[in-house]
Amino acid sequence: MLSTYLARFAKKVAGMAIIFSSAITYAQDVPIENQKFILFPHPLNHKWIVSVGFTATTMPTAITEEAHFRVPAAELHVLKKLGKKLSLDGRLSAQVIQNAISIGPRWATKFSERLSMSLGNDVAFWFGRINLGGLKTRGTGWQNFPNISFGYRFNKQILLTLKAESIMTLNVKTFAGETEVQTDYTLFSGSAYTVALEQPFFHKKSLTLGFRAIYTSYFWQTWTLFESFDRNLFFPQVIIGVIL
Amino acid sequence: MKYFFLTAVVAVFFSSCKRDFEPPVPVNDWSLFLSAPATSLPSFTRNKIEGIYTVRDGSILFGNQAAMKWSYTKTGADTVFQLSLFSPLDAIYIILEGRRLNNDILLNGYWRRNVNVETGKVRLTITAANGATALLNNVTADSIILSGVYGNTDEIPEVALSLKYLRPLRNNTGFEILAHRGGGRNADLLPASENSLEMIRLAAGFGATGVEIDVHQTRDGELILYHDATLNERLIVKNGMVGPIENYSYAQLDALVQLKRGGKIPTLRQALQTILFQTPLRFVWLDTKLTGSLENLRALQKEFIQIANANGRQLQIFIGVPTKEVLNQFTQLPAYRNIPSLSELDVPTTESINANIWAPTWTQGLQTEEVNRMQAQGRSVITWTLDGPDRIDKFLNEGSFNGILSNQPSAVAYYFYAKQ
Repeated sequence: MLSTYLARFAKKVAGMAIIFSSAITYAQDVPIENQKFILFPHPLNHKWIVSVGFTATTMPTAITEEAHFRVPAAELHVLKKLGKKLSLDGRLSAQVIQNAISIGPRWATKFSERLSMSLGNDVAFWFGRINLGGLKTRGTGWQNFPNISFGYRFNKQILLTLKAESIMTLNVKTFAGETEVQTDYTLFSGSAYTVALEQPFFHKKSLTLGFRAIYTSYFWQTWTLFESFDRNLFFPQVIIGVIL
Repeated sequence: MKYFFLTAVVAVFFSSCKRDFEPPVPVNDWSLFLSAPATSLPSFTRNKIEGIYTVRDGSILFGNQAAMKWSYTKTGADTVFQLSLFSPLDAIYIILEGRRLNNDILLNGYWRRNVNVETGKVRLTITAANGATALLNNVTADSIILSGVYGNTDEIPEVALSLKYLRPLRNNTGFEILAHRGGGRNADLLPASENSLEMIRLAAGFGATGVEIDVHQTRDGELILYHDATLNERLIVKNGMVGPIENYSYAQLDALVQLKRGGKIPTLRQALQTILFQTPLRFVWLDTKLTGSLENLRALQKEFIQIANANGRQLQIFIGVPTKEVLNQFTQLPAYRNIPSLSELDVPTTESINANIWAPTWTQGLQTEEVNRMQAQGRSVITWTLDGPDRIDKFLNEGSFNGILSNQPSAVAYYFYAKQ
């Protein structure tokens, strides 16, 4: 089971590394002040940073059973500089039938030319409306993600980010038809760990490649399954974005 | 490139952190209980222990009240009796075995929270002064108090647990508490594979009066228990075999396939024999997953209904009609309107095939009007697959169903037996 999963994942990472390696070859040595980044924990050097891309999350078979599928979501990620070290972090994750929006402050500081970190807290609201075989379901929920990130800048403007988040579920309301579903959830419902790389790409754009390991008892994209597990399941998520 | 290899290694490290939970069942090692002088309990003693109890110590975990009920499993000439405790909180249950030691009654087993992996040992005693003398002499006890300890995982139990008898269980002559997939799903981390013979033997201990089992047909026409359409790592130990289960012969599956949590893929015949001769289960929902003719299924259903009747055993077996494809096959059967069946389709279809049972999904709501209409026609209504103590309580209190199919039969059992 594990070896299959690792092989599958290694293949995925290798494919993405090839994309990245071509970018590395042509990467120019520019100072951090001229570099764009969206996840890297560093004080912003632009008033706005906008990234578009997608995330793809693999759902665990414990809840999807024989339908082992990966759900892509379009991502719009925006950073707004508010002060020297403070910025506002906004994000939209869209799958049309279910979407999430999050916003929160991020405070970043650098320890040296190479090392930096940030602290943040994102409040997220998700909503969905799906017709499941004639049954109209709808749901909304609030989550909170206090987070900490550490960044390391390599020589060739490759920015490595390691991020840890706590996942707090604040509210879930789901309906199957007119029946309100009392979805059980716990306040501290898991954690997530991200490793991401960012670097100049082409035409002043930058590329983000990341992997997020989510361990949670409640992942919002699974609200239609009405599951009642109270144990953390693993949701691997691939993050790809272009910083405009 | 080295950075990317570094990142890949870190990412692989993260992804390899997927935790593969194992079914948690603590080791039964209470030396006093296992000692030679301890003997089995007489049936009259067992019967008098059943009831609704007030939880005096341990209510943080088990709630303020609990229902206790016996079940059994027969293996050859041996019968193992188990006392189950059903709690209102988080589908928590306790499964105990009982013995007499001198003038005391010892109850030894484990507790489990169904929604996660929390578990631990439980050791209870009914002392002579707390009712054992009366219970062992077939006399009505003034009061029955179970006192002892529970613990976490395999640790020696040390937390106080005591329960006091409150009243008898609510009588259950017709309400069906059905366990999903023979007793529970693989994802529920029970100590047996879903749709296995071992799981069926556990079902009554979880509070079930019956089971829903999934029926496929092999390439050579053998009816088997299996849920998914394909062989996959969710259900079987990886062995290189993939693809539709109907592409394999039963001999291949029997020889080469090991179920994920132990055991072999059983035939439907083995499953019905197990239900009939080894458990107190009285209701079988055959969830029809096969795509072709239902003649073999009907023949086996008929055969086992006859065997049950011949053995004086109350056992109802219903062919499930979950889809229009199965409906088409079902209506090809001779005199299909007289075949015991369970329809998951709409009310008019249920009426048209004269199904004994209408089984709408719980997400359709209480549907009181439709339920009343079905019951007025002499049909039963069973909703599926209803989990979560709050939801179960709501459907039992506000609905008028004749049964509930659940992954948490212990929660259904508590709310049914405790209802006054």
